[in-house]
Amino acid sequence: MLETVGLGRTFDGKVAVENLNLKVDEGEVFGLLGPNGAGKTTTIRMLCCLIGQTSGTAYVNGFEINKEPDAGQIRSIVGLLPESPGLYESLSASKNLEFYAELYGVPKDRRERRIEELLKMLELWDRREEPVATYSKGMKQKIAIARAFVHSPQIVFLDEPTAGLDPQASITVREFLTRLSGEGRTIFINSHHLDEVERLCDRIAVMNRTSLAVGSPRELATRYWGRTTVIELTGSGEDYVEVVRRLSFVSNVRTEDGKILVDLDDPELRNPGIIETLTKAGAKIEYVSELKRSLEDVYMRLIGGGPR
Amino acid sequence: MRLDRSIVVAKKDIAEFRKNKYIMMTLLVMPIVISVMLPFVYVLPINELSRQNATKVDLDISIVVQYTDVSLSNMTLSNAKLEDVELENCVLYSCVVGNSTASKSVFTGCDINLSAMSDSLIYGSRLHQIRDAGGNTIRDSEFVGGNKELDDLKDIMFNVLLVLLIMIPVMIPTVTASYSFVGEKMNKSLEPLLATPITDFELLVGKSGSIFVVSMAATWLSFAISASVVDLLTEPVLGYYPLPNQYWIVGILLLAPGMCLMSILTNVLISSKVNDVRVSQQIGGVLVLPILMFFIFSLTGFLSKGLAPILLFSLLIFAVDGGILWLSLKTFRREEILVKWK
Repeated sequence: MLETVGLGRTFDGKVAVENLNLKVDEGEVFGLLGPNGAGKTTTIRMLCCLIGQTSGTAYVNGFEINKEPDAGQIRSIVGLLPESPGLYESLSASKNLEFYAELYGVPKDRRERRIEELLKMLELWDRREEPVATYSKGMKQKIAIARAFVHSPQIVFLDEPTAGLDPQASITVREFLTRLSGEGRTIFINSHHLDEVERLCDRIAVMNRTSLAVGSPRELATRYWGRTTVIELTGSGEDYVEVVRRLSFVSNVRTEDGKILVDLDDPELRNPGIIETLTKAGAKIEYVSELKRSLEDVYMRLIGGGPR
Repeated sequence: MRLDRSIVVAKKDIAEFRKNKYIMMTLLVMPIVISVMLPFVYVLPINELSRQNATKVDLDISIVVQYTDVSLSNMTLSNAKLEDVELENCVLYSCVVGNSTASKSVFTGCDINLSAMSDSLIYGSRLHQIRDAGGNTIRDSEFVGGNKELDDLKDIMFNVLLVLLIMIPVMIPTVTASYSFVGEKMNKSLEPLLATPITDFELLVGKSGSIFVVSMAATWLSFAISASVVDLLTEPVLGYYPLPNQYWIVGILLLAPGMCLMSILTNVLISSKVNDVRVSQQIGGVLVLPILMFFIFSLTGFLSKGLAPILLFSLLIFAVDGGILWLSLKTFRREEILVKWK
């Protein structure tokens, strides 16, 4: 569906994006993470054929970016939510959506049905005829998201979809995105909200001018942190650390708050052996679990915030 | 090029203009003030002078004899009313002539209506629909003779009025275009718009088209109001409706659209350099300079010397429009707008 091949862009000699290689499958919800100035917005702009690339190329649904007539084809099959909603404030929500639907060539009857469906989904149907200027920030963002979907695009680029929204509005937007991604549409999200990306996205790329890592949140956690088994005993785990360390397959073991933490390559295979050894040594095990590494941990390690 | 997409953009922009009270005030108040007030300022003094001049000609003709449906030749007539008369080789003074034909005759201080003239001389007379022998209208509703300097001054004033009205298609786009381009930039609505399949040229045509339509509608309405006011003011004195004359027709159909286009395209260029509507409007004010040049020309009476000067000026404006269009097309590109527009 979407592939970048060594994609790069410089502005007056300053590198914004370089040698970016990504592959996003059809129907996938893909998250692009990175700090400010990492080139996320530039990447989206190149993929939407808004600005040209200075090196490499990319293909969206088989069409090559910034190459006519492909660029026109790409623009007609993608939807974009930019960083700012960019709505026409003096016009109503339905007029805003109607304008874009017309520009995308959506037939009148389908246009009306689609606008009604989107506004109802975003709980804005009752206020559809009011000028957008009277809307709250969250409502404007919802309209801008609806605009990106108004022509039922095959791929949607969302730049910070929940930025500046209150928790309730964020939940509505997330539910909306989950529902629309269920229609088999590819969604490409730029975000700083790691928990949101973790919840919404099938796969993630962390970038800082170039892609640093790509994978599902779980894959990335495993790749960059390994897997760690947490064993909680009755009493302190300090007394049993050495017992565990002596096991040949254990590379690293430590205690934290009286719990034993063991780094393992394959916990499903190794955990029974550790439990047996501890039991034989007289330890009373309360429970065994796996240490969950958040996307934030992965992100900080990749971007340079150091281990946490 | 898909014109339907440009029309969609133009319709959206017009809908936005309608909701913008500053634009609506500009579209309604300025044309009305200019088109109604200026004729009073420029035409009334001329009118008054013409009235004095007309008194001297003394067309308050007292009739002492009347001729109907006869042929008259080799005669001298005064204070006569002639209706359906064929005149040949006659001299007429202070006569009222209607529905007649005349050849080789001389008219002085007469009121001549709906008549055909050939090989004749007319002095200080008021004419209404005078035809040649072939039936073509040669002089239509005009006062012939009298004070030539006053007539010239009257023509100059009509041209000055025309020039001042040309301000309307120049000034309206400085307001509408700044809201349309700079406003859209400030509102950050250009990015989602540029992400649609519309081409740069279609977008430029759509946005410029909406401004052109509203500006020219206001302009033509102003011309109509202004010409009507002038005609109403001057007809009782001149005995005919002087506007629109040939200069006005060229002004309305060529010069006004040319100046309007120049204003719009210049504002596209200005919009790429500023990010404040008011700054854009202030810089757009420099567009009055070509009008000022035209104004000076009109005061010298240069424009009244046939149609060539005003036609040439119009063509010059269109040539300049071509140059600005070329620059605008270079500026109005997706990447330029997103990356380089301030």
